[in-house]
Amino acid sequence: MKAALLRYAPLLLLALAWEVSARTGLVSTLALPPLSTVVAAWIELAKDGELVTNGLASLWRTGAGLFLAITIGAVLGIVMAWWRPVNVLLSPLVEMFYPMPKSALIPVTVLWLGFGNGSKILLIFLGCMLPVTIGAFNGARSSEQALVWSARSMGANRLRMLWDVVVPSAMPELLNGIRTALALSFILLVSSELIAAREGLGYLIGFLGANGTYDAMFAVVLTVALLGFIADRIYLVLTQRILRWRE
Amino acid sequence: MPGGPLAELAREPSAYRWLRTAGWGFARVFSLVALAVAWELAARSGAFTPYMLPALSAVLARIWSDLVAGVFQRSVLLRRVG
Repeated sequence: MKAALLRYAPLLLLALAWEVSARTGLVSTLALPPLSTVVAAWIELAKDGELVTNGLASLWRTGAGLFLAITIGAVLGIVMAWWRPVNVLLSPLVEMFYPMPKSALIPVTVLWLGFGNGSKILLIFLGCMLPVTIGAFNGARSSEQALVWSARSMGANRLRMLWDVVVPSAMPELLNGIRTALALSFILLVSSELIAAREGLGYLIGFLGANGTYDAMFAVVLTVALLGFIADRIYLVLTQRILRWRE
Repeated sequence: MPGGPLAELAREPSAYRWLRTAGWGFARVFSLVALAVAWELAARSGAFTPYMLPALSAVLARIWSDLVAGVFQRSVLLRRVG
């Protein structure tokens, strides 16, 4: 309990500084409404159901895009590491698209798939797939050669070696790549919903900001931050469980 | 047989080695070329409107004309365009 308090003390201090600076007039309430007002607006939004419906729409988009990115990205990375021709053919494409800011694709995805879920899911998929692919690729490439040779000497075929040696070795790097993708998915989700959407937390931020209800807007921004934080914590717990065999 | 795979590689005829290196080099460029060709063909097939998928050649022509007009340079330097 004490450790948790100490750990989150900076957040409590930040909240206190926020409230005091807004209440004392140090910062204009238009630029930064007091935290207590933001919390009250959050409760109102939650009661209205706005937060839940838009939050669920956003979570569905993130979940679907991330699921596709993890599934396809992990397979692609491991296959690239395992078969040289695939690596030679695909690595130039990966190298070319990796540094590209994926938010630049928002107008393209909207043009192709419209304002609905499809364009957001596609954008999150495209943005999150490459970190997963690169994580899986690096992990699979760094698998211990001695283990591969041992498996081969014991008569394991290529697929068996891939499944029993390469995939477990790739797991730590792959999981790191997925964590990066998880953070990216929230960034891409909000930026795409801010620009072109009819529902979702990003849309709600834009809508409330345009209407001048800044306390509610901040409430939604905090909700997104909280969702990202919770998702990351859950992911870390899952990661520790998955990698328990290494200890 | 004396020597391992490295010795075997050293015995490989240099022409064969050169061809193999060139082959892998070609394969590296192939995917980019294939993507460019697929884009151009898809755009010209009529399956997509130019609004949804403009031809790569049209995109490159636009980049060139913007470069010549200085639009790109102004955008890169974050100056006001137009």
